[in-house]
Amino acid sequence: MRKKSLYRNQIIMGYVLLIPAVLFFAVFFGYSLVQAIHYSMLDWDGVTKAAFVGLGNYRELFTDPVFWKAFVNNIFYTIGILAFGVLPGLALAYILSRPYIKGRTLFRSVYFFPRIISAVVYGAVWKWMYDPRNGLLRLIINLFGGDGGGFAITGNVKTAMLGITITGGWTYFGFCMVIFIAAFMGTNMELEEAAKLDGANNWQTFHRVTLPQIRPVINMVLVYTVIDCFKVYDLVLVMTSGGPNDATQIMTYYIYKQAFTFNRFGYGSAAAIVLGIFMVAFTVIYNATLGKEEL
Amino acid sequence: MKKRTIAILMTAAMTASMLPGTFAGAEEQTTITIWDTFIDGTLGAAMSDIVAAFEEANPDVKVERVPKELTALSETLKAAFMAGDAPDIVYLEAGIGTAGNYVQAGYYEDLTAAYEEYGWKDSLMSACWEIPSADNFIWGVGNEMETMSLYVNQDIFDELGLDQPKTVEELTADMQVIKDAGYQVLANTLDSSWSNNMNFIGTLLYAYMTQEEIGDVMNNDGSWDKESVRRAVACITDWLDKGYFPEHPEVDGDQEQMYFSGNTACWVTGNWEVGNITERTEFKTSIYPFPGSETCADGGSQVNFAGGAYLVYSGSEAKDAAYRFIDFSISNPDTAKTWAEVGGTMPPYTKEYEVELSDLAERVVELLGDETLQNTAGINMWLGTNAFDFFSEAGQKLAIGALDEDSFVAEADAAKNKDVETGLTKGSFKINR
Repeated sequence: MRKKSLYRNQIIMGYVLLIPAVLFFAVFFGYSLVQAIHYSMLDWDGVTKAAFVGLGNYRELFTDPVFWKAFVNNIFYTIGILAFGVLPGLALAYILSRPYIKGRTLFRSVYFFPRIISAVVYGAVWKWMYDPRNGLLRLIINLFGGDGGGFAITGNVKTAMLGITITGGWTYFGFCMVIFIAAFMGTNMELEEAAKLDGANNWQTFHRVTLPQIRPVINMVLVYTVIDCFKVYDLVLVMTSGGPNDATQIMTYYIYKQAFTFNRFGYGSAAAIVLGIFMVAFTVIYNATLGKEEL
Repeated sequence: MKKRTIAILMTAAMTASMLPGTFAGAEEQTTITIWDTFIDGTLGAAMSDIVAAFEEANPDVKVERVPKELTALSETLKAAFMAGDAPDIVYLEAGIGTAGNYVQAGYYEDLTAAYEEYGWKDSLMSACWEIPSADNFIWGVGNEMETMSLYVNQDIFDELGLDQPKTVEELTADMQVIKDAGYQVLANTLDSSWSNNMNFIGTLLYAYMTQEEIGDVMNNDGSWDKESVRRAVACITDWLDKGYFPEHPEVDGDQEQMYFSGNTACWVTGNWEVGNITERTEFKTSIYPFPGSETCADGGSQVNFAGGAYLVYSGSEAKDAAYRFIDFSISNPDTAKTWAEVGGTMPPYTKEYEVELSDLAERVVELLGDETLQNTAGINMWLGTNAFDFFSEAGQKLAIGALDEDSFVAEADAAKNKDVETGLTKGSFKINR
């Protein structure tokens, strides 16, 4: 009887201890979310009287070609970061987690370095590198006999997003590398040795033995990467401001412009809600399919 | 005995507590709060000097100044208005696109009566009230006058035997001479920076448009579909085609470095560069009014800006003190000197005052005061938010061939029509009185 009472008290105490976190979440997330949903149904400039428009903002949003352009650009950026950031990060992590590599700590620090620099700084540096008038890329192309001045990566609607994506990937691979190194360090080396004794080559050992062991980490990195890529803002702002001709328009910049440049808080909120729904949907679908843990 | 002691002590305490009150009453001070955007060295120093001088001359007013970065000020101001806790004075860009919805919401005071009382229209340049006003409501007092002009490397002009161009057509002919001689013609880029697009296009538009046409678009929501606008756009594309701009003008570039290198002959820019040019170049620079087109019936106009304006919060409980501060800050020979010498900017004060300026700065004063020139508020001072966004990118779009004369006019009109729908143009702006 006394034991049961003690158990009940522990449960009550558990709920009591949860209250601050729940309150914090309710005020700073729940309330904001509800408010954003409310705003998304208003025609409101953020200052004067608002008018209720129901789903009007959403209807307009889905017929706005710039919104879709921003959405597609975000997908392009995400795929690019997976290619230029996550994959190289995974490969480097595997190499640098091998015990026979000398100077591993130095390499890890050097590769991680871009991640600690502000996007404003590396954005400006890469902008100079891409500068067709006197940038590094021009010098290199000229060095090999090409016409470095004839090509403007961020000035061309076809290549501007690629330029930003490469820059983003450069900052991202070091971050992925650090996470993957920690995962590789926790793998069972004996399994790899056993696979090799059974005649598996390096690729087969990596693909069939090592990689499955870090699958939960890969899932986490992939979900994080997609969410992070849809939140990118400062890099685009510094490098192209969404131009030329909306070629590098992305969701967050689009939302900011609608809300703060055009004073369309309702419309901007609707775009933010759609972005939030997309990211939640992606996470749920991914975890239910590709990211599902095998028991 | 005990009760008596307490009573004596209480009486003493009450008397003592009344003493500071008596003194405070004699020196009753009103406190006004100012949020401004003078975070940089020279303008911030000028503003500090002016605040100190004002407090010395007006011991009954204390000024609490909060300098903020432009974006931070804009974002916190909205929250401050909605919380009823806005500063008494705000110093901010005050065009209709920036301040219009706050005016409609009733957050800014109508300064028409203050203009009368303090005689500001007699002592300040007209841009001070022409920009922050619509529907017979003046919501600001402009400051920091700026003007766009043609800055030329006089050494190159002399070497090539070129004189001051009197028309755009003459300038175009000079540009070909400069290019043929192997010099870079223009330092201007039409890149992702809104101001590089807006200032250049605005200058060219005003070279072709008559005052009547500018007034039609600015005040009456008139169409951009005008022959003069098409000619201005054609001129820009012609200059692009002929390679007068730097290589890849659509890509962000350091215009200052290009001009300061000494290899570039012309730069269409504003007087905010005068200090840099004076300090960082070894060659001689001449500042010419940007020439109008031969096709423009009235010879074209010069683009002027007010860098910012004083605005007064309608909920302020110290409006009189706020007006006194504004009057002291801008309609005063001493503070005009401070703005010019310490701040390095041109005050809008039109009466005579003593000031020491560099040769180029004196030239700017001449241009601003030249009555033969038609000084007109630049497009960014009166465009609504959608049109502002269009003109922020239009130059880059012209540079990459995404716009031509027809689409330029069509998109400019579409943006203007959106602004008319929101009531944020001078023609459509209405105050609920």
